[in-house]
Amino acid sequence: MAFRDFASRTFIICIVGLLAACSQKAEMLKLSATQFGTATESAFDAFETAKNLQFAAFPKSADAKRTEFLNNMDAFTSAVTPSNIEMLVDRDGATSSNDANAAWRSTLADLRKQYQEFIAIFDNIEGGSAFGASAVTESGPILEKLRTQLATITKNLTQNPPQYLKKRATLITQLNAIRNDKSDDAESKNLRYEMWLQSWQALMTSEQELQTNTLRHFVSASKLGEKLQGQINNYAKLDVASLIQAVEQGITLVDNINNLSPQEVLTQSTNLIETATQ
Amino acid sequence: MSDNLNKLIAEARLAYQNAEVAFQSADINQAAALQPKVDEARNLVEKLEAQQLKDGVVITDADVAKMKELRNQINDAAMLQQGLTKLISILVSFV
Repeated sequence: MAFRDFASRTFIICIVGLLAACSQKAEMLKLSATQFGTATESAFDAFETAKNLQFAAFPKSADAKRTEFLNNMDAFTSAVTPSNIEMLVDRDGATSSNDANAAWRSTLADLRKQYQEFIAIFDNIEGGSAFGASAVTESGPILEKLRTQLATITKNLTQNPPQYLKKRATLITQLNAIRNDKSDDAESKNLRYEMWLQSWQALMTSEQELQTNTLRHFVSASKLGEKLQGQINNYAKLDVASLIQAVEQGITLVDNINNLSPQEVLTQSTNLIETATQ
Repeated sequence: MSDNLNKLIAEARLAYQNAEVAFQSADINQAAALQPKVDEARNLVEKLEAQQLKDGVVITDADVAKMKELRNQINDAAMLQQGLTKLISILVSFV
């Protein structure tokens, strides 16, 4: 084989090799991006759930509802109208959705679309890895903004965690009723107080779980975003081994975050806020 | 600014709970009168929370357009690369 043929063949094998290596690198990037996308979807789901639960009432039995309705029919002195019928049938079912709620949902839907749009950038990255590198680099600043958004939500969730507002009000109402009840003797009253305290503590535990769970999702998503940022910023330079390692770390990371205690989740999210705003 | 909003939200939540307690404690006739107050208090909480969420959005329409553009760029790159790979595989057999 002439030297020229040998050189051409080597050159072509190198290019094929390069494309193969780029392809692997690109696949790792796509995997990281997908991890990030999934995590943000879960976080938004948890956020929406928590939002709904703020105004949820304790479930009422069919019997209780029936009794309440009959009592209302007996006691109510005015006319029944379209605006008061719901309250008369079930006092808890009275307040309904409003414009502000719709606005919140609309903003969340927009947010979801933004992250989905970002992940979609990398749909064909493994096919376009060698020539798509500049596009990957250009996506970096956009990811910064997406991460800032998550950090803001995390910060607000830490400062004002979701609460079971309506359920709290119900229990407070019940406590006042026990206090004002003249018919109980001291012993029965204390018993009722104790039972009430158990209900309250159960609610607080439930609320704590809700807060921790919601926060946990955002901490996971934020950390995965941080990893992805590193990979994107170094895409031109990063070698395959580091990328594989980064993806494996990403999987372990989420696993670890799921095993953190509520206190640890809170510490992580506070640290995250501090580093994200630097 | 955002800390202010957090404070307002905390206050609005308390105001809502107060309204809700009054509403649930009242007899049905009083409750009917208190209903609009509860709605108002709830509306305020939701309005402030919606505002807070919106305030946190920094991605613009231009950013979204850019994302679509980048996606197309990579898709085009993929087509180009596919063509090139095919070409190379043909060349390899000749070299």
